[in-house]
Amino acid sequence: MKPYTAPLPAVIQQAVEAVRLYYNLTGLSPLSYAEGIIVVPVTIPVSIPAKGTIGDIDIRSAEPVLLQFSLTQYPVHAPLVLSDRVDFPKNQLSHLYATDRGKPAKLCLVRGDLNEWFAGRRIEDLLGVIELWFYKAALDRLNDDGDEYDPIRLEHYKGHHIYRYALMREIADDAVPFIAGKPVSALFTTRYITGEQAIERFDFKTISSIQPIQIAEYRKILSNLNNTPSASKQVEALVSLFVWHPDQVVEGGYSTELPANYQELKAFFRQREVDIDTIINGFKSARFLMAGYIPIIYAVKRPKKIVGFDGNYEFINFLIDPEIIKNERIADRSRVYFQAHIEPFSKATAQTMSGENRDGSTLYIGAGSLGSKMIFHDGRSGKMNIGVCDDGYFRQHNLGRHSLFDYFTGFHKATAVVLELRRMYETEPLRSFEPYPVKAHLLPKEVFRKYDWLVDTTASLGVRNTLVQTDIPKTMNLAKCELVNDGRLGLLYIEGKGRNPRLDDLKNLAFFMATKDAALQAWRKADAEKDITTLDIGLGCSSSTVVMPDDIISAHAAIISTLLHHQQGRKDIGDKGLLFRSMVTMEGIPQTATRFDLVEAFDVIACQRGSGWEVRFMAGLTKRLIALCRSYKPRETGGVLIGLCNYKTKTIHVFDFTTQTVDSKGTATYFIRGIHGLPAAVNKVRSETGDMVGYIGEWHSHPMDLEALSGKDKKTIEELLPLNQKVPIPTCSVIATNHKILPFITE
Amino acid sequence: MASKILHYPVDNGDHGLISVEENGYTTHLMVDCNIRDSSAGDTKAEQFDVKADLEKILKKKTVNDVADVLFTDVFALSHGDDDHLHGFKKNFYQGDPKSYKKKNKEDGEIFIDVLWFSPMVMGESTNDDEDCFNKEAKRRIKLHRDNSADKDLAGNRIIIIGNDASESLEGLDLVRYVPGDIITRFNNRNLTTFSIFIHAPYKKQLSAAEPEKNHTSIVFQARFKMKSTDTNFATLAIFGGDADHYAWAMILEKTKKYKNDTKQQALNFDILLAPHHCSWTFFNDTPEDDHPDPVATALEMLDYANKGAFIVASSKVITAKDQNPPSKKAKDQYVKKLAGKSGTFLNTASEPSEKSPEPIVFEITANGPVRPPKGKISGAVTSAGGAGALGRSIEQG
Repeated sequence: MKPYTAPLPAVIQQAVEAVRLYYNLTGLSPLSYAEGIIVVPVTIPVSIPAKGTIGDIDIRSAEPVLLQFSLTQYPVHAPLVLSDRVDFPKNQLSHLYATDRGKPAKLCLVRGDLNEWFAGRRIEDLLGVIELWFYKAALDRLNDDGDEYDPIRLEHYKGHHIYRYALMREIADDAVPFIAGKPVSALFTTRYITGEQAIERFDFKTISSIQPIQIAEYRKILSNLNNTPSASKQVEALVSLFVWHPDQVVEGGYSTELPANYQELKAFFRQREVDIDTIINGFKSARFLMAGYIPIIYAVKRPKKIVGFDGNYEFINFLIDPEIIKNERIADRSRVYFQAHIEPFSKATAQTMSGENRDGSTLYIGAGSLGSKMIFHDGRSGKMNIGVCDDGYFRQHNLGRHSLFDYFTGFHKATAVVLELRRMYETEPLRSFEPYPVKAHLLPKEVFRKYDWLVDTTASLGVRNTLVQTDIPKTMNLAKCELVNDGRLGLLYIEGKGRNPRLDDLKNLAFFMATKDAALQAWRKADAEKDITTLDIGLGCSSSTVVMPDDIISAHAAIISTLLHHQQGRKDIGDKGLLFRSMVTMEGIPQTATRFDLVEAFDVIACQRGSGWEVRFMAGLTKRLIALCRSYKPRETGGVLIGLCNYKTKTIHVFDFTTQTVDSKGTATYFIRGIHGLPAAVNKVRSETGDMVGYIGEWHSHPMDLEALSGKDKKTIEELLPLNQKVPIPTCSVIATNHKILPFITE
Repeated sequence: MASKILHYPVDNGDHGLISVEENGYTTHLMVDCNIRDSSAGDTKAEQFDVKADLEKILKKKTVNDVADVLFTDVFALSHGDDDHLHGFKKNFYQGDPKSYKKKNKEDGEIFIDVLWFSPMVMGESTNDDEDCFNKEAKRRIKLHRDNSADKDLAGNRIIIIGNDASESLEGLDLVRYVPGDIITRFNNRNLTTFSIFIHAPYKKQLSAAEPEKNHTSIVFQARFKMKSTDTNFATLAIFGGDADHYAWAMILEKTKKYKNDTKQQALNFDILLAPHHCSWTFFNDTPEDDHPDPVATALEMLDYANKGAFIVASSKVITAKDQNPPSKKAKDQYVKKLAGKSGTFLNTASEPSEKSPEPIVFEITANGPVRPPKGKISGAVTSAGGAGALGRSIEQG
């Protein structure tokens, strides 16, 4: 790799500098990795036991890694972490993604989506997680539960193979060969096919196993299904092969380099004493494999129970795209893909609510369980101008709470929702339903101009950050809704006119209002406890879905949808922002209630030092600070600021402040802020807000109207910096003069 | 969860915590304490808040109908000097467990199931905390001597380490261990992967005309295995209080005499808490200048360091200035010895930095102790304050 010499985007420059400081290095040299991608080589220190790593795994006290940054997508896309060692023990470690042969090992660092995790963290946090990953690797603790086996991490799936794990386990346990002497069984599989939409799909669903005596019967079924012309045909039928090791050998290693073509697949199976070519030819000569794709499920027997499944088998799902050459043989160069396994969902979802006609135009960000319901409320009510932005795909588990049905498995949610809306209004000439199957930050700006409302229905902090930082037309109305506290609380935030108060002001205000509102406080406290019990960085990679019943989501979706409809023209809220709560009890006979607060615009003041930070004061606070400056004149006064900060948006939100304590002392030239009762008071706020809102800085007055930091102020900031960095928070010092509020922020 | 040993940064003083994980149950053994008011909350943010950390680590249980009471299974006092017992009076419950009230919990009093101490508790106290500790020990001793029905209740349990042959502790041999004994029962629970080998104090030390506290410190070796059937120890850690070189010479001689050095590996260590806060007294008499050379027994003791061993100085930052403790010269001796063992010398005041010291933590693995990474991962990008400047008086112009 060559040094990357072009200027780096500012955000990446900052990240690289943060890495340099974290390890106290003299410099770092980014390298060109691929088009639009750079890597930064860093050496990670790893603590190794005195007598060596556990199990003699080759993890070293200094592990070279490459932090891979996308020049265009960072920080929305988190840096990927690659080992910079060719001899890294890939095959002995879990929590690595399967990579192409010869490519560096790619670390799987967090549960769920790394990008979403990173949306709420700093680069230093990522480094901390990397250190933890190597530490656990050295101690053989990468598997969260020592009694369970972590499956191989695969990326770049070519579609999915849907089947019940329990069915495959039974077949593997029984190991009854379909062809005498061969470790193979046959499966009846359907493949979702597309109709007129021309979207290629690779989702296969295995229904049952096929016994040898059923060959004739199934040959007929396959033939009938595939030869019946039908406009509404959504599936085709085929046979999948189920293969196991003839001696049921237990495999403890991680094959992170999987076959990419038929030749490699044959070698893969040969190593496991399976002649896959002969097996396939056997099926073909029995006229039991049709032309087209050949799915193969290989049962790997693991030494322990597989995490998340009830059995010791891990199933690797191959898909051969056969290129037939002479004598009906499959060419060695034929591509072999691997597919993700998905458990099938067999229970239909109930339809949602009745509708009403609605005007206006709405761009929805997020077409998930909450979003899809709201979209269809709008759609079924007759709203003809709807945009849907969601880059996610519709999967089997979405059947439980989404408004779409099984047919759409494998579609982008945005596309599928819009297809349904379009189908719903097939004959309506003035309809305008547009799918945007991309991440929110990639939406072209002109899209925002097409709608008068934007409703964010995601629970994503990354989307919120994007919306906060995106230059959205001032005329557009922004709203965000989310369900929290296991569904007990639905929150809707509507920005004020001119984007003030903004979404982040309102969300953070909801945290602060937990000091006064029981429902908000219950949510914050539950959230704080949940974080402690579920945060498990570096372990497990399957994202867990929030447990919340579909009907509760519908209840909130209905009321929020109704409110949005009624306030389409801001009839009751005017130019103010709105913080709306819908509450549902989850026990006994449900009780519902709603509350709301209209929120005045925040006072937004940029850091006077040009740090790029800004302070957003809740309405009324700056006036009170100025009034205090005047009332204590000629003496100085001061206290601490209560709020929180966001490093990604470089924003400090202030919701309250304390006045001078009894042990404080102010003169005309200086102010000593005391501590009497202060820790207890602030800790109470922290506790009630679930550790979200607390001390965020200092304020003091300059009654002589000095609009700059005094020498003493600067010295104090230098003293406070290391203390605040430990939290971490920036050091914020706000000066109140007789007429102005002047924030000074240092990171 | 792995078993752990933790040494808090308390300047010149000791505060250790051993957490043993076995069969899903954690047994906590606190070794000495040093909880300074000045480290509480954010009063002195550069001081590590020991109490707050204990509140996070220690288990909770119901005591006398008061729920969620913080408790430690064992509190072992090496000796009664203030730097080993600071904050005991304020932070630990003393008295009849049946009298524990909600107010005690609200005052942050940690409940001690079993109190370990040497017969020195029957002597004179020289500080307030020691006075309270001795009173609590004597209260419990009386229950045991009187064979009270309550003597075995959690909060009344005791273990006496050493025998001074005095009448005041007569008849308590069932709750007494002496040098050479191995303890495997902790807070009425037998452990199979953890034990403690008692090294000191010897009767000879305790029965001197005027026994000296440092010299009579409890010295023990904590021994961890990964599985009960293992023949080798995963980690051996020696806690030596403030024992001086005379005490260590006696330990060396007696342990070898009874062949416990080979039979029990009783002198080997993967972790050694440098006695008396890295004082020169481990190596020779003081002042250092008058006794500049280490005695042979001290150096011999250090030869028992296992490969990759750690020596931890629980002290202030060690500088070239003659403070003793900590002694730069003592540190140099330790470092020199460790060099041949690929070992590491650590100072509680400097880990990870002098500006912001944090506990030194060792996780126990099959291949010895290992220090987990220190990388701090924030909960979210939105972060509130609390440990910053909040509790500190701020001067502004």
